[in-house]
Amino acid sequence: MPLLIRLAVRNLWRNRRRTILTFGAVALGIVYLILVDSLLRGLTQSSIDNLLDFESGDLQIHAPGYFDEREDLPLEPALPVDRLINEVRAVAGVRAAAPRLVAPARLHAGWEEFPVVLVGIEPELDSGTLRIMDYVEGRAPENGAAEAMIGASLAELLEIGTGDWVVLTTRTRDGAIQALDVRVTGLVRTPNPNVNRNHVYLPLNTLGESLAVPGEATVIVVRAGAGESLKELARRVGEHLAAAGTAADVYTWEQSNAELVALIRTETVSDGLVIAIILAISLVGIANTTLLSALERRREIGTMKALGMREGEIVGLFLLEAVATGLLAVGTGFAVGAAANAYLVAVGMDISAFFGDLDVGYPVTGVVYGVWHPQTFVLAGAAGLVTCALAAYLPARRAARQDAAATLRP
Amino acid sequence: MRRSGLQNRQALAWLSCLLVVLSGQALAAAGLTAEEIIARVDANSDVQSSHGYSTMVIRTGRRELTKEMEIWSSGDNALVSFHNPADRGTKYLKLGNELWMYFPDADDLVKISGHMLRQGFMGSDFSYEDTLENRRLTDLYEFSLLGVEECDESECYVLEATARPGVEVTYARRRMWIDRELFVPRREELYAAGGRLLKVSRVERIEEIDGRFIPTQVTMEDVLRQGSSTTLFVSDLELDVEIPDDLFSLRSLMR
Repeated sequence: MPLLIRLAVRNLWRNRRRTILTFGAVALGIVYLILVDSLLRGLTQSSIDNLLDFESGDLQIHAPGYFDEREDLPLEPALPVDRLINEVRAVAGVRAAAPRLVAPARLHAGWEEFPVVLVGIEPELDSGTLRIMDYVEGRAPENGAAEAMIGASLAELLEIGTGDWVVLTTRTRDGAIQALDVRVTGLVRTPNPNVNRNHVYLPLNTLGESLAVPGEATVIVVRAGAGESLKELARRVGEHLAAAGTAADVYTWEQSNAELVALIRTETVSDGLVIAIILAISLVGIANTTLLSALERRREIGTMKALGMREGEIVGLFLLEAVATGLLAVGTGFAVGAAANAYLVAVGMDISAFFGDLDVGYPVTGVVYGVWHPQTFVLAGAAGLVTCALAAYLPARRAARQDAAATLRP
Repeated sequence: MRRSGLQNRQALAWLSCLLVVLSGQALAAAGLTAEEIIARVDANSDVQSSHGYSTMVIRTGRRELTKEMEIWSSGDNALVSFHNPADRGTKYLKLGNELWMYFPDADDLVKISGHMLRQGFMGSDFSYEDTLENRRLTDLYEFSLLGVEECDESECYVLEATARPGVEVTYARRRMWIDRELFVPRREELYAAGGRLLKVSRVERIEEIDGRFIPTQVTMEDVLRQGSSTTLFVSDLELDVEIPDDLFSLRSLMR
């Protein structure tokens, strides 16, 4: 074994406490980096899944002119359901499609009023398209009946249970107030807090007739087959509908949810900042240890120089020690990080303990699961090693440049 | 909410409706038509401009809020300025079909539109859009005379208003009890498109001012807000007064 490596290993072993502290700090940084990255990626993935599975689907079809006004949830312009739904389902690459009639409303409870979003659905078509029906406590409303499912958080806030009657006020197409007395048949408790807090689901035909828009939908939600390019599918659906003589605009979920997409992009930048801060902390820690080590070992360095060791070799010795520490840290960080991440991927972390019902901008509630992202391991490992080497270089060079005679003088 | 209570209430409403219709058919021939009655109501309430003070008492459950305001109106425009300590300096300006609000603390001007219009005016049982309605009722509704009934110790014509086809209205149906002598609505019920009763207003005091009979105490009850009602008291009302033209402007709102 070359002399420098033997010296480096011996030095590390000789100062075991310092070695453990330094590699421990870097290993902790690597573990933290792996877990934070895994959770942030998991949060983003869950947000997208929750949005697609419970609200938007992959594509949304609106009547021309609706999209620009969609924040106000107008009833017009709307799409004719019967004519359109089969046309949409006939397009290659469309796995499922369901009509929805969406309108703003107020739910009345005692002297309180709560703003809610009324969603008219065809339960059978909807269950093949979105996943609301998998999360119903009770049952779905029946077509034509004055029945509704309401978000579980809203129900709990208002102390409403299945079997209770509630009053909803909204507007008909002509702008007149419409009041609906509906019986609650089910509570919807999904992983998407927006749905749990704001949404009330009625049968499409009940809502359509009450609002003077029978047989119409404000949106047709489309799920794409596996591996479909959404932009390409949106183009195909648009062309198919145009050929069938129906004027409609097709949007991908990213177009319809530009705010969430922007939030995810912003978060990606801030994730990078978090990672940079973790690396900076590691860097300062290692630089500090190496500097102290160099100061402590002045006489040893002087002796080595007196015995003929060159400055470059001394710097190399310090770098070797740092890289060895880094390797040890990377190995430990990988092992612990992988084990902890396996737990996060399998069991997840309940973020409601941190945020409760607080709206953090993401459509996520309850448990967030980690994800495996091999690039993070590569990045964390490389960053650990480079950080160690960089942090050691300057103090090592300073120590190596000292005058041997001066360091040995008592 | 219990269904049985609702059904009972609806059944009672239909029964009273039937009685009113039967008595109305007998009386209609002897008196005025529905359109003539509404025309008399319009004639009594047709005021070019006004200035007065008002106190609004909002009751929500056991809570009671009092708001004091000064009101100027001219044609389709109106200005409301609050004087009670909690809202002092807050102003509303109605310019035709638009409603603006000025918050003195933030020195901010907000246009009330869209969903905000459906909320209660300063938390009261009157919605912002209730205060905005400019159009004549006869342009919005078709009226039919259901009969004559005793109401608040007066004889009242009972009129039913249903929205004219193709006309956008907030309330699809209204029922009004018009004082047979004074031609002032003493009571009004506002209904949803599906027939559900939404609001009831009662005129509790009528004063004769400059030869017109003006309601000076009105209570509005939002039936869907349990235990909630708002009473508006009007005082020192002057009719057809001179009001400077520039009073109804966004600039004067922020003054």
